[in-house]
Amino acid sequence: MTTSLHGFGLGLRPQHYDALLAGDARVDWLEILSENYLVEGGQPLWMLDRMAERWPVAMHGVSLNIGGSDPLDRDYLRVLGRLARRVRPRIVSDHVCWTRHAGVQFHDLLPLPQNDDTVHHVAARIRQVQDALAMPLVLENVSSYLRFADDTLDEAQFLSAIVAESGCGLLLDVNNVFVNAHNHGFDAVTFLDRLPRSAVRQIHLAGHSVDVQGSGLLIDTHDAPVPDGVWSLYAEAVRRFGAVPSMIERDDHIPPLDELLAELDIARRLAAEAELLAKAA
Amino acid sequence: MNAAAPLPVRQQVFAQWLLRSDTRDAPAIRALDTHDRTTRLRVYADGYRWRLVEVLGNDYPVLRASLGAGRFDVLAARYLDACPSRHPSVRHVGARFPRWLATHASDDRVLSDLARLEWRQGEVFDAADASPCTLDDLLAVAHERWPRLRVMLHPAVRRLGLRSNAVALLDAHARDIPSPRLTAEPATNWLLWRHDFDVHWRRLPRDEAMALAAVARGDVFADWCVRLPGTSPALRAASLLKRWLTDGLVTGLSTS
Repeated sequence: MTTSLHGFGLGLRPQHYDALLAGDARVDWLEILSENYLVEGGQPLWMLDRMAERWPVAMHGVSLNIGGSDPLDRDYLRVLGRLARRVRPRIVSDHVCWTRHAGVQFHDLLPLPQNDDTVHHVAARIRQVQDALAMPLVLENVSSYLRFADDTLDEAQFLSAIVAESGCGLLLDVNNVFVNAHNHGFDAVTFLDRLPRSAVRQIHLAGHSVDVQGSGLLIDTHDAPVPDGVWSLYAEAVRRFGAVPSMIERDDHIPPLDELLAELDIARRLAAEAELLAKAA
Repeated sequence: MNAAAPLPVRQQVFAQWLLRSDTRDAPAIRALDTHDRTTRLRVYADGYRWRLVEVLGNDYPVLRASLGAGRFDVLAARYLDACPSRHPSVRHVGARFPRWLATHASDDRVLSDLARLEWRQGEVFDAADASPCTLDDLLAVAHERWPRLRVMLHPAVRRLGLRSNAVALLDAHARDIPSPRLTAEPATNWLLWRHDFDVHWRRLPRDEAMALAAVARGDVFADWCVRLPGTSPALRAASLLKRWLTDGLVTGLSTS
């Protein structure tokens, strides 16, 4: 799969509609949360059309339930396909997780048992989704707070096996790697080394918070600026994966657009430095 | 649970943990000790519940303000236990909340009234688009065909009967002024519609509520016109049609 997405993007949020349309924002593309636009009409779809006229769009979903044991939701795939025909996304992505069981939607990115059976299950469903959408699928590594007692694969092995068996792309969420490395006690840079390099199609950057209950766990809250540790890991990532389209996700405590654009400039600078280092090497 | 448990069984166990938070249902995970195990599982169970309670608070901000955050959150959590989400978009989590309130907070029926109003407002906001008809479109209909005229309403039009002052609370919230206390009142009929992406509402006179209900059922002009009270029902019907067209409520006129 090739991608025609290039440069540095932002997750589109309604708080920034006016600023994006009014100005000449230094942003190369926008990522939408697909579920926010699975509506019939009104302002959301009108705004989406205006954004898609000006910027390339990536579609990022949270309800595909690619690792679930319920059958794939054909109605969901149908409306997702309808949205894709409307915005002609450069990338369609979701998460390596499950979100629904016995018809109940949990609206959370729930952890999968990491073993060969799950790899086969997820890979088979990826092929079904790609057939239904007639598009390649890209999947994101999720933050997690537990591992199952009988997991036989670690996360890097699990993701690599899914990519190898299905041919899907990876959306590398650097913040999620940082959070998981802390929560599960592994080395984040080594984790990056173990991912299949050619599979990484897109990078997410975000902030996190410390569990307010005092557990010491890091929680993937997307409610704060990208912290130094995640920036450092991003620099390691671009040294390994090259000029992968990168973006900032912010879902809570959303600041003015200029603040996010300033953060995006940090990503640009780090990527440029990594490119210079690669050339020098 | 042993290592051979198939994925559906494992996800059933996890789902029960999320829905009931009963440690006897908890999946087997890696943990340093019992406290660590409980902590890691709790992140998911608490996250599931409070994320959706927050969604309901965003969908029903006026009801939440009226009840107070504490009472609202308790009711929202009880609702989620009774009516877990079935739709892939979190946009629909609160769809059954008004009906649930009517049944389970029945000592206070006005709560359901306000919830229905807020939910309808959300429906109007992102209902399907359609091109409204103009007065010229109506004038183009030959007079002899008017008795068979059917009016199609915009997909964003909603009618609502209320037995409370819920609209006054919504209005106060929209204008960011102090809100009155939610109280029961005699029955009134209301119209909600969308214009330039903004949601509007107005109280319907009894005859207009009857006419709009008939139009929504697909009745032809002759059927609902004759039921209008007063000495000049045709004139009243024409004035209603004119207003509906001016407000952009009409998207189709058919005499076939």
